[in-house]
Amino acid sequence: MDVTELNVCMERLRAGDREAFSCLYDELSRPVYTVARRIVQSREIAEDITQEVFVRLYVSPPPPSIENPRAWIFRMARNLAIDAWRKKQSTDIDDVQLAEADVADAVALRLDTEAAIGHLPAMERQILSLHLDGDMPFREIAPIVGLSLPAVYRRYRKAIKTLQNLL
Amino acid sequence: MRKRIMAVLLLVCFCIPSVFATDAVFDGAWDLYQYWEENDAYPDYVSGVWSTDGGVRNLTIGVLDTAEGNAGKEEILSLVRDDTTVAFAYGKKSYNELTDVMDALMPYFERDQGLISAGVNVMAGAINLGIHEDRQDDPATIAMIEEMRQTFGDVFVIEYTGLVFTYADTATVGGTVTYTDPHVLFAIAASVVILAALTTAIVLKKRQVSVLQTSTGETVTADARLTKSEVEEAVKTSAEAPSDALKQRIFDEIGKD
Repeated sequence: MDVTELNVCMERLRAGDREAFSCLYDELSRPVYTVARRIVQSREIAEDITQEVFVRLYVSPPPPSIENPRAWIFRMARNLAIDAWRKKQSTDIDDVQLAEADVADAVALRLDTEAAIGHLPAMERQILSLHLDGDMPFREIAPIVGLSLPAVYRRYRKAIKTLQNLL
Repeated sequence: MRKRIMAVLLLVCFCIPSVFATDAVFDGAWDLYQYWEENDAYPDYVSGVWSTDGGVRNLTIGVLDTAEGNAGKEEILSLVRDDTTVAFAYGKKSYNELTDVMDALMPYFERDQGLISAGVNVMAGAINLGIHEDRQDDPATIAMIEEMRQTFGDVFVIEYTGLVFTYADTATVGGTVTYTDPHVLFAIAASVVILAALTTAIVLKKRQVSVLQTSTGETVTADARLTKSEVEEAVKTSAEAPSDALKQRIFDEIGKD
């Protein structure tokens, strides 16, 4: 779905078209869920965040003045995921990761990749996922994560290098 | 007193920018280039960087002729304080893509089928391959080149040469490597020698890891890591969809309104 199609969908959504909402869900639920999961490192919490994002999107879709609704959606997903991740820090992280590993071991590569991504600092996970899963250019990621563009580049390359060593 | 303050201000102007270079706007094209090099942080839309006029102040930045490349030009101009130091050209291949190919060439060096050098030619958007001139008509060498083209695409420029590697320290992985043949700069105009030499040195530095030979011709190999593209692909393919039940949950929730 390109920007024009996305804007058309948003327009229909603002008019209360549930089919447009269904289209948006089919298009964006996978990357939104993946970005959230990469950040919080939990499938269950990532689903809760995805639900929250899409319910908010339906109830209060971005106004027409928002030029890039895709970035708007990922910013919301990222912010919710960061909040959830901070809360999760106080829980028993080992238990959560073990439970995830049970589910994930069906696909070895996926487990390896996920485990490796789990070793990255939270900021690098965000940048990596927003760029690769969210398909967002770095210049759009920079204001979302609150870093300068060069700093985003640097973190991304560092993340890739870490993964090169881990995978 | 005023003179002293001026002197301090001048000192600050000359010294401080390098401290902030990683997180602030860059003074000029050279600072941006250095940042990209030192941090291995070339954006994917950049096809290469070379000197505009033979010096290091004014640089030409190659960008891909795509929407991303054109947007990248604006991005670069926004990063550089003195935008008169930047010129743009269009390139065919991303520099990152070319260096990824470079990183994947190690097995071909190990075959001993005449491949003796490889380097990114940023101005041509290609990888220059040095093939030993004695192997020019060797069917195995011809087959290897064809296989490389099929694997990586038509990114190679072949040069048949008598180029020889010498190693200052053949016993240590990472030892100093020196080219003994000036042909290494064959595709680079004299006006860009300064920067091109630097680029070549970087290429050689990368090759030290993957293509080391002893003085007896044996090859010292290192574990080949995944390339940047392979890592990115692994991350992308590990993306998952949420459970089927989630969509129903969401529709149930919005249906309450």
